Amino acid sequence: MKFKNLLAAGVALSFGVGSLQARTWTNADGSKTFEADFKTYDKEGGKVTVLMGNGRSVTFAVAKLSEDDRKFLDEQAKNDPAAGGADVKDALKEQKIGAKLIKPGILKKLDGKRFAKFEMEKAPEYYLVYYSASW
Amino acid sequence: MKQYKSEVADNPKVELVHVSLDNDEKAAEAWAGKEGFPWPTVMRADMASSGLDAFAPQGIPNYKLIDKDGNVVAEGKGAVFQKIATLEADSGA
Repeated sequence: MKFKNLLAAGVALSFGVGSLQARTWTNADGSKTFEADFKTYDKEGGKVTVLMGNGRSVTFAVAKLSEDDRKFLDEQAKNDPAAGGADVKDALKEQKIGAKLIKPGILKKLDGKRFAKFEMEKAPEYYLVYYSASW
Repeated sequence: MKQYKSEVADNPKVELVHVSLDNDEKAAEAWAGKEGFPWPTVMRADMASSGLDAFAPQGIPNYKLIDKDGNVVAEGKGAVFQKIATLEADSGA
């Protein structure tokens, strides 16, 4: 996703949910900012996921962010093992449930109208398992 | 969907995993796309590999809250969301 699109989504936040404790993010050259909640950081893959004001999660390359933002992400990864992608995988490997869900191709998630491969973004203590069918 | 967004989506302690029991993966995808499911899904063909076949219910829809060690701590929509609310209260959220 281009930074200008993130910026547009961030603008939506300011007119959206006012109670969010959003962080102001800045692009690498300092010319643009947007507001969003920090969600997860995949340090190994160099990706960060943020929650925009419209409730959409957006994932983009950490390289697009300012040095301060990258420092912030590194601190999050140090302080909260669940925040870092590699650490999430390590934590899931220790779980009876999570260890199987991280096997390649097990989880899928909508990308538009189609399913795409998905990897867990957090290592939860509980799984709400919802069994259902279209029929 | 509303309860998912308010009580699960941003709750670090809980993740919703949808297990689709559709035999037809295209039908499952079409349904998910129509409803805009925001959660991860395990297809029926992958249910055994996911380990979630061990908790498969007799009838659907079915909700189970399972801890990371594989213990079912609540079953049924009401009980599950009641338990999740307790978790939030415990964490001070």
